[in-house]
Amino acid sequence: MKNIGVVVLSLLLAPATYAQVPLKSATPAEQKIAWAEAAIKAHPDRSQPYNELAVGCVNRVRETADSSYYDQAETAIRKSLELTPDNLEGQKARVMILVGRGAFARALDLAKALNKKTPDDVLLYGFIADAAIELGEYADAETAVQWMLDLRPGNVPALLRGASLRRLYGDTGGAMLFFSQAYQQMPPTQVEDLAWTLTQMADLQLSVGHIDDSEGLLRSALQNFPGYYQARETLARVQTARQHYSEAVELLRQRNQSFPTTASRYALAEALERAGQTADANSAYKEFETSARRTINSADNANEELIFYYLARGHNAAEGLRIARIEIAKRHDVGTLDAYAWALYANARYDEAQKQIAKALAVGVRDAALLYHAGAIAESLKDGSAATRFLKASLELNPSSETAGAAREALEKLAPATAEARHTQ
Amino acid sequence: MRWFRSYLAALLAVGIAVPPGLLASSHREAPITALDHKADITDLYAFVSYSANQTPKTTPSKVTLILNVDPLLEPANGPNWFPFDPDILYQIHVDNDHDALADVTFQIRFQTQFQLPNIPVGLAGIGDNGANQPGTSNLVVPPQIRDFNNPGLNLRQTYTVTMIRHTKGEKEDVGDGQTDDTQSIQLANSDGSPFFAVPTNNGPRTMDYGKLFDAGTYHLQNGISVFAGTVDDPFFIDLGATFDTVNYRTLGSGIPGVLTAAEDAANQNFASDTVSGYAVNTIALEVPIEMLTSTGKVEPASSPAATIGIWGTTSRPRVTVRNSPNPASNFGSYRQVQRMGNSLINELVIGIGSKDRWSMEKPVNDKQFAHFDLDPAIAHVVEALYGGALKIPPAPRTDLLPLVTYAAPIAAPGTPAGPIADLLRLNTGVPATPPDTASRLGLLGGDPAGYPNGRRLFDDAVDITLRVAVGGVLIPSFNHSPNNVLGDGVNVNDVPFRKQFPYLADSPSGRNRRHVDPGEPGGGPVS
Repeated sequence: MKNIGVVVLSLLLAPATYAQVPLKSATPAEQKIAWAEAAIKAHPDRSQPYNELAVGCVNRVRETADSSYYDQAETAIRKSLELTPDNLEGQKARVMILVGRGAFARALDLAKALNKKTPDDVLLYGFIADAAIELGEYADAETAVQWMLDLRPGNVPALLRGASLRRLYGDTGGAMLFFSQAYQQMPPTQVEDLAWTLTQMADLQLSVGHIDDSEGLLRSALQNFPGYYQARETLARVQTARQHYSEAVELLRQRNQSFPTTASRYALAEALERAGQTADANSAYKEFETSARRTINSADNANEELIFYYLARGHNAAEGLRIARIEIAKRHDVGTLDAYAWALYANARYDEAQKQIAKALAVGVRDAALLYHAGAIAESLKDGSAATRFLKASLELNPSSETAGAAREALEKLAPATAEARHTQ
Repeated sequence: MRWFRSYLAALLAVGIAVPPGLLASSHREAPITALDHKADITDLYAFVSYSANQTPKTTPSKVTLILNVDPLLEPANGPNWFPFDPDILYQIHVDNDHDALADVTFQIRFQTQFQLPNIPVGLAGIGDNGANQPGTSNLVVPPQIRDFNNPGLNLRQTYTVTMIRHTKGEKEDVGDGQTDDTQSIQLANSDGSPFFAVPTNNGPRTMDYGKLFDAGTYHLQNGISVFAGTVDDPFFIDLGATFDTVNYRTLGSGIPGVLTAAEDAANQNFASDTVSGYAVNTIALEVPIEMLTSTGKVEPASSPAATIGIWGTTSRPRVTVRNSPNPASNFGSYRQVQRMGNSLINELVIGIGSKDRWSMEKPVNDKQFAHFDLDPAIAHVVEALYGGALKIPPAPRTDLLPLVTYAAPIAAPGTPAGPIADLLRLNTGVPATPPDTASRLGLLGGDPAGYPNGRRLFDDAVDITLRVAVGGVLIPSFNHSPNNVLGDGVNVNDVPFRKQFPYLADSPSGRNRRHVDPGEPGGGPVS
């Protein structure tokens, strides 16, 4: 953690260099799509331009959150595989689409099959890692990322995935180091990649309560890629941490002007509620609920948000638990384990809740909300010592987290004198 | 969406700069080693030691193991030339109980010193007394380098050799070898002086390379001998023709790649040895056989315990996902960059999409590559190029099992086959053939002490591989022309080898080296 300050400082300075690179009007993904379309026009009988088009479309989804690009990508891949059945690059693009669509189990199966045939393709290990992380298969993910690092030391895709794993294992400093190394290697023209990485780093900083550092990184991200929706979403959380709720609302309204996701609708509803705009918040929650319920049984869903909505604002703990069970049947990543544990807790099934939250904690993850949940569950089981330990850990990790208020309150109930002392520090 | 959900990482537009598949002989055969020249293993040799006056059927006593790395070194290429990489862990492994796991490992590590940090070249020297600044006694150029303490050996390397016995099979961690199921012995000179690596031979004014070579050949009290340094690359091949889609020269038979009986029998070259005039870095060990066999004794050739499997590896420190090595996952502190057992396996047999993974795997896991080993793509390539004139055995090529399992004609009856694994197998009980009567074609030439029963420096690995892997000559019905006379026309090394340890030839002189090209004397035809 000691190095984080240095890393952040160097990255805050970096955009000054990159700012000298003239930005073209087309984004990297748009350029890729345009090149691929031109290549298809010149060589309609070749599969590779269709693969390039598909990858460009997938990239464009991340640039814009417009998931309709997946449809275009799928059309291109169908054509590619029709021209050259089973071609590797086409199959890799298929994996990318499956991951993007949230079909992680299918993506993992296909990526593993391709990896068996072509074990030297570094990105295939990355796709295995992506799908495995989402499914909570962390050992598989770690093995895959280690192969990436061994095959090509220091390669950017490996560093980014390694950073995700390090964060999941509770190694915030190590994650920051990997993100930083990846960022320094990125070409200045890949503005969205730069912005995405900065946003991840900002999120990491925010998770440990470094609000100013987080904001600095997000400003850099927005300088690299103006209007970037992911940076705006995270910046809204920075404003929330500062208790600047109206600013958070404004940022999320801007973000939701184009291609809002179910999750971003939920974020806006929460922000409105915090800002005291109750009527708008209720309306936004309703809109979110309607949208989220449509995809409960889809691969690409907002079930995690929906679970927390029912547990907190929806006042329907049973429905939250029902949806959590749907999710846990498909995956056991720490996010799903935490949501399931919290749903069990809300339904007074404390022993089961404790087992699930213990599984999440066993991964090594350090997250303020998760630690708060662990504390609340322990408290419900009358384990005051564990509850105190978890609640304190949550507050020490991030005193400005969204669960910090609740954690302090719970701690006060457990040990009023200690909590009072902490309050006044 | 909380941060746990990070799947959008998969959609990153940044690609990975994977270089194109660069193919070349035993040199730079896999993409990863094409990028990592210093860690690239060119060849591995293992044979029963012999002498110039070797008599037939002498009971074997020692085995020589040679690991060559860092290919195609141009001897004139100063000013730093070719030091070993101190960051690389060089290893030679021996399996003596037929499970494809190391039972004995030799680890070699190098250190670099600068004796004259302000001198711009790694090697400098002249005459008996050196050269002074005119009119002064200030020494500017050191005397000719004849020993390792001469300051003209500016960039000087020492090395250590550690012998590790794995008493319960090989551990995952290839790092320091200090796990509780190993016994480590640091090999050393009796007077405690370090082992020095012999530098490249940059020219006769600067050094007396022969003296350094002799001084750098260490014979230890326990019967082990060690040598490391830059020497002539002992590999010989028409590399250019081989990798111009097997475009061999047309010689006496009129058919490219097919030798006449006279050409086949001759100890001379009919095509250019592309590796001629190039150097390579070598690590050579001579070890008493009883230190290598599972019984601790010299076994007769008929004993299953006589046959051992050898492979070499290079490894570099790794960056781990976890900030500290995770004992639960057996992550070591090194990642294997390359390995080698048999000659030309990775170059000619393993598919381009699997070469790096193959390089980084342990031999015991080679079952996943069995489809390559037992149906080599190179055989189909050559078959296609000959347009049906060359018949090859159908897959699966069980005739190739002696190369990847313990089997006859190398191993004695009763030897456990073990898993499919690329090891250089050596029956240590087979007496060395006197050098004057040895065949470059090894077992195929009726010489039981030659490749693929181990591999000697003069064994013609290219012709043997072509005949065995492509021609299928281990199957009697395929042991006929043209299958058993395939060859590149390069039958011998461009310079003779020594006839005692370390057997290798002097590094070509940087000043006077010569690469023998097609059309030149000794280089065969261009067409």
